[in-house]
Amino acid sequence: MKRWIQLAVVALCAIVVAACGRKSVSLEDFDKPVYMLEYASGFDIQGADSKQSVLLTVTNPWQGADGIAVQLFIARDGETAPEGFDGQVLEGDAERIVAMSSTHIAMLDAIGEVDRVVGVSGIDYISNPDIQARRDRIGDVGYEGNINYELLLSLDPDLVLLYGVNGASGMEPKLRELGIPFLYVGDYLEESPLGKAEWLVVLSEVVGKRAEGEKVFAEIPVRYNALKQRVAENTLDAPSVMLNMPYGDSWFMPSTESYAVRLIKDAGGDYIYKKNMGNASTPIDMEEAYLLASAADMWLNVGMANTLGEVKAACPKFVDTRCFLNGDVYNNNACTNAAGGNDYFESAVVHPDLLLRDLVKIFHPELVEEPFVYYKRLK
Amino acid sequence: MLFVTLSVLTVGLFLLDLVVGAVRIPLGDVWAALTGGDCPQATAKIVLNIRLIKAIMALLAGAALSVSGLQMQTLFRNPLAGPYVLGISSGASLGVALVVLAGVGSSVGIATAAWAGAAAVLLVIAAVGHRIKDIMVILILGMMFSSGVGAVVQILQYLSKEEALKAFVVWTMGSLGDVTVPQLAVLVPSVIAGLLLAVITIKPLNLLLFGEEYAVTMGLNIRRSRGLLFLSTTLLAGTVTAFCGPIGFIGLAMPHVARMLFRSGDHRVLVPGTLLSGAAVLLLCDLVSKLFTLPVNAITALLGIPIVVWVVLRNKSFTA
Repeated sequence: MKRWIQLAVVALCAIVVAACGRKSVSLEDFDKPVYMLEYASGFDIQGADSKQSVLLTVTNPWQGADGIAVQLFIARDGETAPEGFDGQVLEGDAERIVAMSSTHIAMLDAIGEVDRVVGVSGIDYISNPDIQARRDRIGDVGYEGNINYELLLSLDPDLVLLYGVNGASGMEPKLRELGIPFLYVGDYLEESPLGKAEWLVVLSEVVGKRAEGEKVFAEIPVRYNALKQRVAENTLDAPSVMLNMPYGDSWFMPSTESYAVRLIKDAGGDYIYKKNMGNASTPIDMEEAYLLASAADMWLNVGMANTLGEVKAACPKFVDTRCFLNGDVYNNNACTNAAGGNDYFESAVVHPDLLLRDLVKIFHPELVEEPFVYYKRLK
Repeated sequence: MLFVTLSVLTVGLFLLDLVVGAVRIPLGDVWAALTGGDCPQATAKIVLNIRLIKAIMALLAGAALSVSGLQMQTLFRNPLAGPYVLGISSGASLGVALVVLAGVGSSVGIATAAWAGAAAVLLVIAAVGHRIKDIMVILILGMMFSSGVGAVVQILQYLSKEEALKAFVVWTMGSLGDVTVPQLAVLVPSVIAGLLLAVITIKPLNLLLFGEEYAVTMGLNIRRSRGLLFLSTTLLAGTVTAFCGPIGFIGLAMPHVARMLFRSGDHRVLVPGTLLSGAAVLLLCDLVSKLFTLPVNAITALLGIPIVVWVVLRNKSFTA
């Protein structure tokens, strides 16, 4: 009898020890931030004690999202996702990536990992030289709403980088069904120029190179802020700036909090339309736009126009404004490829310092010697 | 005989649709994937999760849109009527525009929004139509209502961002590829229910050919028949549009093709005839759209027009 009791006690202990040893990680364990956000607000990366895996959370990944969080668990070193985790799981680092936006490509390029891109959306409009050099070996999966899933699947991607406009990407259900992990990259929702660039840290985490990514990013604010400060110390007057071109009869004026306007402010310019402080552009009437343009010293971001003649053809009533007569009309399409893809919307996201330099050169030419990168003065 | 040929053609095109795609897969592997045999996992996924679903979609959408087009043409006694004449596609596009362009209720998803939009428009038409005797007035109301809804969509388009606009425009081009298995579980029963209703309404449709007054004197309950036809069209065209976007042309053209192929006005022949030719043609369109990676809507019109012209010219009674 005694023997039996002894045996039972031993067995019980064994079970307890085994249960403790096998205790699985829970989602709550991943609460140690491994990266501190400086400028961005849409993501965070968290780890757990003695774990190599990380949990990536993207909050409100599209316009109008409220309280929505999309998670990606990057399982490293044979670790598994916590039980009950219902987000996306990436096994190991992403070696093969499908990027739905050209900004994702620019971010991977910034950390020297663009060779991991195996699929893109609309390859003709991508400026990245490495992608164009490999274009025969890269799959073009088409545009959202008409994705070639067969091609996408045959590319055997580890991860698809998505973006959401006004709602979840239409690709989500099909990607879930096909078992392909995805990640929302919310760079375009950040209004801070440095915050946009900071998303490259997310992509560096996904490819397992966060240290390099942090290093690459850390240098950007240093250059940006140095130039911003030099402008503030050396200039007294800020030229007033008119933006954009009309669509039909309306002129869309960005908010004073928008990316474009923040850059103008940091570069020592004065955006002329101050009534819109919301989070979206407001359409204004032609007459109001004419008054604004007449008062402005400079006119920037004139749609797709390459020459003053094209600006004249698009809005003939604006040719007697002071900025047009003085030829102070600039556009951000200096790096446009043959198909019309503009690198301003691609690589400028990770080079806000260069963008700022271009704008400073426009507003205060005496402060910048280097040639333009993204901007040009229309002739 | 013609039924046998069309059936064989449809089955053949269905199988061809499984074999052809962006990725070259040997015939043996396709067979293995379908029968659960031994083949690479990626191949099985491509064949079962992408090609098979898409082929089933083409089959269902082709059949559904064509049959509802036939119903609307007979009901409205108008050869230019189609599944979208009551405003189904504009209702669906309003639903999608609200989600994609305005970001209203973005959690419900595009398909639900499209279905709700289509059903809302039809409910209004049915409610108004119940008080109206003259079917032509309903037709005019439907068109006016579509234009009104279209105007709202235009305003939303005008005020939206470029990326959102592109997503919306691509949706209007139609796609058979975004459908998932759970969605198919909604789609298949709806379409089958719609087709069963179409079978039930064969007799009323035949009576309607002679005019509403004649049909009434023959004992037809016109309001009930109209209601059944509206319901059938909502189930057929509304559901397909919700999941695939507005796929044009098929619903308008296929009833004409069937009438000329079978040289008959009898709906006992026309309903199955239209169903088969619609399914076959949309499968063909899907094949072509895969080969050129173009939106299926562009193909339905480009491929459909020559088919109709050929059928019209071949029909001796139409040529001098």
